[in-house]
Amino acid sequence: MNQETMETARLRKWDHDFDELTGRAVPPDRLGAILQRAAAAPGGGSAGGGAARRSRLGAAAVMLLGLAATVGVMALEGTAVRGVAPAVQRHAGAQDPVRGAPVQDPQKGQEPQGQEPQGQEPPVAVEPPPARPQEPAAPEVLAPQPAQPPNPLAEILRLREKLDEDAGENANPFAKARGGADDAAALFAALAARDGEARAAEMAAAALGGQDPEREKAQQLTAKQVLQARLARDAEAVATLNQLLMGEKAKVVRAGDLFTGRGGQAWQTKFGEDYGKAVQRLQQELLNLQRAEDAAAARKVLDEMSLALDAVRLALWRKEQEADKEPAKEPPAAQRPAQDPRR
Amino acid sequence: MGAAGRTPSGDAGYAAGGAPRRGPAGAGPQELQELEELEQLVRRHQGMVWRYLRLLGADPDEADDLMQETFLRIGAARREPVAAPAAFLRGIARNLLIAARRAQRRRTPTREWTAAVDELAADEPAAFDDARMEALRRCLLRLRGRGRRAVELHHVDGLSYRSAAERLGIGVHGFKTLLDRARRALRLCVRQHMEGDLER
Repeated sequence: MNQETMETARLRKWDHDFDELTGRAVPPDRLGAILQRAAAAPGGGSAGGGAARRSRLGAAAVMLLGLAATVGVMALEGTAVRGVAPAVQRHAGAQDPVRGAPVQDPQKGQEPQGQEPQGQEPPVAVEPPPARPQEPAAPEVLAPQPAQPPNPLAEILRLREKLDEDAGENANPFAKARGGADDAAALFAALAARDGEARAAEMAAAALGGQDPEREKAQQLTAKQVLQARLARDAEAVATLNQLLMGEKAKVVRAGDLFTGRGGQAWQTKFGEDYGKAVQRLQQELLNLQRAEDAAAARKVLDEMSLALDAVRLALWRKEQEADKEPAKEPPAAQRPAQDPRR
Repeated sequence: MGAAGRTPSGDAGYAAGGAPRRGPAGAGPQELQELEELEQLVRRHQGMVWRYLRLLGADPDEADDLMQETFLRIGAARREPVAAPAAFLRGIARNLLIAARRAQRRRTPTREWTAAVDELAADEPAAFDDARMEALRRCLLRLRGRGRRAVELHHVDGLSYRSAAERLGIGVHGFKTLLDRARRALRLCVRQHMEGDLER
């Protein structure tokens, strides 16, 4: 064995190890996809690289559906308590962009359709909402902070859903604006960071870089996808906080990269000045976090971030209070449809 | 290069009954047990296979595809017990990478390189395991002084030798020496961590 080659292998291994530690290239968890394919394919067998790729997209679809399920469930929680019809849920089902996202993936468009074993398609794609709370992908999305009751992400999400609903169905202030592309890029970047999906990262780069066909695709995303992007960012932010508390600074850069400071103005317009400022502050603190030289500095920034997160929540809460002062939007009790019996 | 049995992984044997694979219509107890075994195998080794493929030269996406394919192959092919599943999986993964590269008319990893990577795996049986990454993370936190700074500048921040050396105010040669010493300390620490974990 050539010693030089051996040494090169060792050095490259170090590089890969640190790529993983810093979140630049992390091994994906494909347990679900592999088991689905193993169960669906008689005789196991080789499905080839294309099939593996499709399966990866399928796994991404499952993850996205899990995200959608989370939104649906939380939106239902947010509205059912108030006795409002589960229109949010129907709304989510009707224009759930997450379902559409994999279809928009140009990579998938190149794949021959209809050759996939049936079991490879995420079975939840046509499942009615009641099954979604048991969806395995959903806890993953919000997994970073299971021990934090009440869940700030859930609250933010619920409030946003409520505000979206108040703004009217099909409200999509971002679809035609440049902000839509930016937020779509953020969505892809968040997905890329979570799952190491290089293709998603490419789309993010393309959306940010302004390549026209990709940007058009990104602009077709609906407001709900923008919401998902924000959710993913928030999840990353909270995950970062938790990791810092545990002494893990490794993922700070990765999560911090997601907070690029874009889209603040649009959200400020939609959710009020307080919210916009609070988010911008949070973004700034995340940038500071990236620059923190040591654990003490990071912890100091962390304190500021906690305050900033509180400010975000407060701004949303105030907005919700304002929204609640307009009872005309809610139908009278007699006209309200019955509570969803599945809940 | 027969990888099976070459790398002592410490894993229990991965036996399979040789029963017919489960069809899409339904699953009997045997099939369910097979799926459970496959699940355990994937849980335990998917990271290892992915890292191994990466070191062989696959990009993250390619490694992802081939990692899935590797487990499907072993799922389909298991007809008899495999003594060292980690090495067996690496063998499948390596062959899949070579076959895929040939099909795409891309350069395949050289024999020398695959042999070097396999020797690395043989020297350090846990080199590609998830546990090693956790140990490395802990050891990095314990690393102090200029050694840690050197590792962070070069590996975490991605600075070149020259830039990192300038940042530390030393020559390139000195920086390489410093980095090499830090890596050795890390390697020793990781080994101790993993041995400690095993003893516990």
